[in-house]
Amino acid sequence: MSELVVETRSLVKRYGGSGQRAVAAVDGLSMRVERGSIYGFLGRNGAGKTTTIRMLAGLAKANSGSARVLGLDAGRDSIAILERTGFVIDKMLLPSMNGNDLVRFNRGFFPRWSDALAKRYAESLEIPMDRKFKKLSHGNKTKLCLLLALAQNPELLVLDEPTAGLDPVVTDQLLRVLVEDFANDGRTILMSSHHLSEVEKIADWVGIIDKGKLLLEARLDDIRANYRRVRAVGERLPQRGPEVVTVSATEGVADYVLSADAEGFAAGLRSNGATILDVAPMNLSEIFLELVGKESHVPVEVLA
Amino acid sequence: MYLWKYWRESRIVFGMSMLGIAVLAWLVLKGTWHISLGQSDSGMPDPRRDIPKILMASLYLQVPVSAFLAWVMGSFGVGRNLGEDSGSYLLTRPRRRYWFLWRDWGFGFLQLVFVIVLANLLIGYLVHRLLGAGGGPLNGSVMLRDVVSPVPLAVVTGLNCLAMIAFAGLIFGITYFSTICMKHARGVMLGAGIVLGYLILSAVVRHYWPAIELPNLLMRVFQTSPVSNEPVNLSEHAGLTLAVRAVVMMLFPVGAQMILERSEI
Repeated sequence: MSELVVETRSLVKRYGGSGQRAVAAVDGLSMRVERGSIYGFLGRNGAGKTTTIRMLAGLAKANSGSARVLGLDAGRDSIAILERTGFVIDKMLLPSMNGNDLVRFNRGFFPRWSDALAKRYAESLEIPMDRKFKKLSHGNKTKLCLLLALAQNPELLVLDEPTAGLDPVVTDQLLRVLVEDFANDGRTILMSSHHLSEVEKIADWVGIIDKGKLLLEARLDDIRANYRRVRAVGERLPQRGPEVVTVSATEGVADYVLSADAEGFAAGLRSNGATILDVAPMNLSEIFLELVGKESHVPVEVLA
Repeated sequence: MYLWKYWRESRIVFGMSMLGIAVLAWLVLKGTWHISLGQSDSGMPDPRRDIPKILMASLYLQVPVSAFLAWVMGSFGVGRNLGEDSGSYLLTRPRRRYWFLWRDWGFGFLQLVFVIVLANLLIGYLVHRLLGAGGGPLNGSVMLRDVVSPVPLAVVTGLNCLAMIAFAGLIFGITYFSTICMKHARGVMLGAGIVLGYLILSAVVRHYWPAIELPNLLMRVFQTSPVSNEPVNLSEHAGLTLAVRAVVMMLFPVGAQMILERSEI
């Protein structure tokens, strides 16, 4: 069994006091990130991604459930976690310091800090290190945040929406650094995003969260290989099944999203007199829309 | 390295304070100081009349400057970072939250103490020169009306200095606490509001309930004559008062720590 670097169990975070007025930002989340993976943590705005990451970083406390990072308890052992994990959350550093000052400031905090890495990323990402943080462009701010996280030489990098608001060139630069320099060393990245195409480009695992609940957690390859859309016409079509993720019906056509064995499911429908219109593969974007675009969800399906 | 961050934030204010101290030093050391001491009934120069007044006045003159300095210094640190949205960055450096807070508070307080001690040393030296120039017969001591033996100038200056440190430390702590409470530099205004509110409350209480006396923000170093308001003796239980004020002063960083430890960032 693979070693888990992040593991949450039934994690709950509520805001707005107790009782009926409380809103669950994270609602029973159980996720597992394997060592060496690039995990795309997907969800709409307000789905609970950032709250989850804040709990992993020890910035917010869970109401119930557990969160472990690098085998350590996120609430109790936050210092040991922070020494070994690079967190990029708000992309806001100390505004009056320039890049060189920030490198100097960070150096003393991290036992595995590397000035050589900081210099290398400053050059390769073309960051103006002598300019104050508050005067940098949005793209350079993000790059500097990433530089500081990378130069601390972490085992795990946790990034909250790292590419939000960036142009395609900067996005490409960042993703290249993440994959080629960081993940290729066997280190782990947990990256939240709602930019599905970017995640699809680099991730090998994805978790889809909506309204604080994890709807799907699976290897991207497994999703590509197994997820299918089946459209069928017939009477008394089933509304559920072991592999049915979602089902909808419009103008007499039933639209099934299946997590596995689409051909077997289609054969079953045919034997009940239904006509199969098509069985089509799905990309991540289509699956995401199916999962988070619906009001009701089938419980999380883990493919492993 | 973290102290370097606080130093960067506070260095302009500290530098301006040092500039003020330098000007004061220049005036004290290079100026020609002379005082016509009041005379006793026998016609001899009587330092009992004026020097204590100067010492008491010097304390009150320091109040607005120290309060402003403490107020500004209290605005630096974690509270300001939370307001600038850099709190999640700062607090994901691998240290406990109290580690950041006590370094802010400790370094800021040290800077305040440094400025206040320097200012009071200069004031003490100025009084020493005045005593010398005025032909004071007590050689480095001050006579107070109700005290039998002369009080060394160093003791009075030291008490003045401690009173000012306790006062500035209180304003500094209140402001720092307020920025943590508000998670914003707006806490600076809250800090000022708390102090002003207390002053107004004291005035109201004094007006409507004269029997009740709320503690003064500034420790009383001297007992004063109810008639002339002249300092006539050192304050009773100065040590105990100072200790109580030190405890009250420390409540604010401790409270700030309790809030910060429980805060969701």
